[in-house]
Amino acid sequence: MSQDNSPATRLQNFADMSATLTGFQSSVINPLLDPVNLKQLYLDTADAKAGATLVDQLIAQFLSLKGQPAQTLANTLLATNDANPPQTALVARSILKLWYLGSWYPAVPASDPTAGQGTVVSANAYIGGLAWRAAQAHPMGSSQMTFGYWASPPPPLDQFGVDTSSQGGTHG
Amino acid sequence: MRRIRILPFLVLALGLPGIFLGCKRAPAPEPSASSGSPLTSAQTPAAPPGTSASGQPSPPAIQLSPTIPADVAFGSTISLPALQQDFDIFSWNSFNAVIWPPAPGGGGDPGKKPGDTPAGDNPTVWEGYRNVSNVFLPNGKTPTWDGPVDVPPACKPLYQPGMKVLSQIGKTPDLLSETTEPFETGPLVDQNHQYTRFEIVVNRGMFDYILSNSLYSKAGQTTFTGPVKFPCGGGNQVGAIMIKASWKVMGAGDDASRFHTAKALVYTPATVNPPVRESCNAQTVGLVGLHIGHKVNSAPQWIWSTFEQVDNVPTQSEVHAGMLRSHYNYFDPKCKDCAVNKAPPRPWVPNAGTSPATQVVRLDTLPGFASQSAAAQNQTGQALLKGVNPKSVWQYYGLISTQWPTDPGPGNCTASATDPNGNPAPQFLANATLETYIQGTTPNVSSSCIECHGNAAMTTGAASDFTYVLQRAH
Repeated sequence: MSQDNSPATRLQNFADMSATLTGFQSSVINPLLDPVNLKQLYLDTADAKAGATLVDQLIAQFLSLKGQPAQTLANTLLATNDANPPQTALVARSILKLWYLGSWYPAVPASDPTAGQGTVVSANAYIGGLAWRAAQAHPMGSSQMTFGYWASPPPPLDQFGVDTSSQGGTHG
Repeated sequence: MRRIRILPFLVLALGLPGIFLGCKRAPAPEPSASSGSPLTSAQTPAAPPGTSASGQPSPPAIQLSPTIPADVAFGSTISLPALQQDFDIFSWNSFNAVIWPPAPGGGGDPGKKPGDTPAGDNPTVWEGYRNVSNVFLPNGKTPTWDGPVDVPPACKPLYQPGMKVLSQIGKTPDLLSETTEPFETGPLVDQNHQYTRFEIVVNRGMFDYILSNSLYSKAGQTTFTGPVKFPCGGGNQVGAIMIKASWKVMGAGDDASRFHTAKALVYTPATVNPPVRESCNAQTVGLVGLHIGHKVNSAPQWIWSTFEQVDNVPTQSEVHAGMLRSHYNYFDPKCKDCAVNKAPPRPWVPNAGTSPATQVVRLDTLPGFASQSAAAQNQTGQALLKGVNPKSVWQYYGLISTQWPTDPGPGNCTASATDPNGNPAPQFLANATLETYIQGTTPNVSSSCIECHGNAAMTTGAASDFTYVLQRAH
């Protein structure tokens, strides 16, 4: 069966994979209406920084494993138990950090001196970092919350888009 | 658990929840940079009225009606371009209704049409709304909808009933208000070295909410216990509407047949620093900008429609291409070294008449889907108004764009607790006369109606439901 690798399908697969990697709901990663479109920015960034070939290999691995529990799938893609992770896993880790922090970190082993040299890819990426949602908070200098929100406890984690089910991130 | 966020306004409007739950989603169309002026030229062929881009039947197109739409009518296509068109049509229908000649009761007179006079101009419905200076009165006095107008003593000898009173730089520099617009970043000066003047008015629904909850005074706001929640439009009920207008003093080079004009008392209060003498002059002013904010069920973040007079400024791409007209209200085509989008140097003395003119360019920040929709709807809307009367001044106004929430919340006129701004589209929107110096694409810095107004609070520090006007309470 030939794989549909049109730009639209590739972007959709990247978004689905990103939901699995991050543990966030698809509605956050790939909203039905998406005026900011971070997923496209992140795919373009991954292509430019890691190379489209490696990104395609990672997406292909994700598609081949689709159907497994999301957490299992994420662990496999990230090679969480592998002391010498393959290059695709390093790319997966960089994509994961990109979604959480809005910064691209080189797809290199943690021991590499450049591993911690992240670059914020855009202002939208900074304020769109999932780390803020996971902390039930907002980025410094930019709040989507109404004035005085700090006087009340934050809404529950799932309302920030975190998939709190046992299955981890949703996809598809 | 699989969870897909549903856009309640679409489900309500279309009755098509299956669209969200059962279909494979297509990636959102890519935005592209805008180029030409959205005010006057369509960049892509517009879908014919009554159809969406996909050719499917779509709800009402732009129409000439004195009825303010209570909410957006949605088509059957769900995408950023299609929905932008729906919201832009709502904006145009709102514009047509608020510029309608008023009936004695205050609504639009169904027996008349905008521009249907020998001069092509008319008094409007929105100018009968209550100016906020008459809502938030000294000492927290209770306002009335149709009571006397607050006229500064210096203007009283010149005042005649029905005259507009426009102020300038006030004594509340830390307050976002029509007197200090555009924001704190500086005044806007036209080609005749005259300061642009501003006003904010609210409709009866918004006024009544303020009145019934005693939010017109600091004391009332202090005792108010609930969250501020202005009424949403829907069904036959118009929601809270807030209109912000910018006016230029008509002068040399201005073609009055292209402006909605009014007789106004242009008031400048005295200040010590900088030294400004108090003045009040009767002037003919021309409308150059109009924001319409309307809270509706589809958008508890309000829908933000912004219009401008078509001669205001060139776009960035028009400047780069050298496609300039001979005259603009806020741009000198002959000046090659004028600093662009920079406030004049201090001191700011509104009534000196010597301030350098502001050189304003509209930055091309709108994504393609928004600029294309505005251009297409402008073609239709302006043609309709010209059809009423070839001399109509209203044909010289155009929609810049409409900002709306792509994720309005759970419904029932309520925004999401975690994203009350609802992820607006387009992400940035500026009126060249109202957000002159904060055009751009930097989040939380550049102009975004919803993101900015989402920070609004009343005098107590409690959130004020996307309006800053409650901060004016005494």
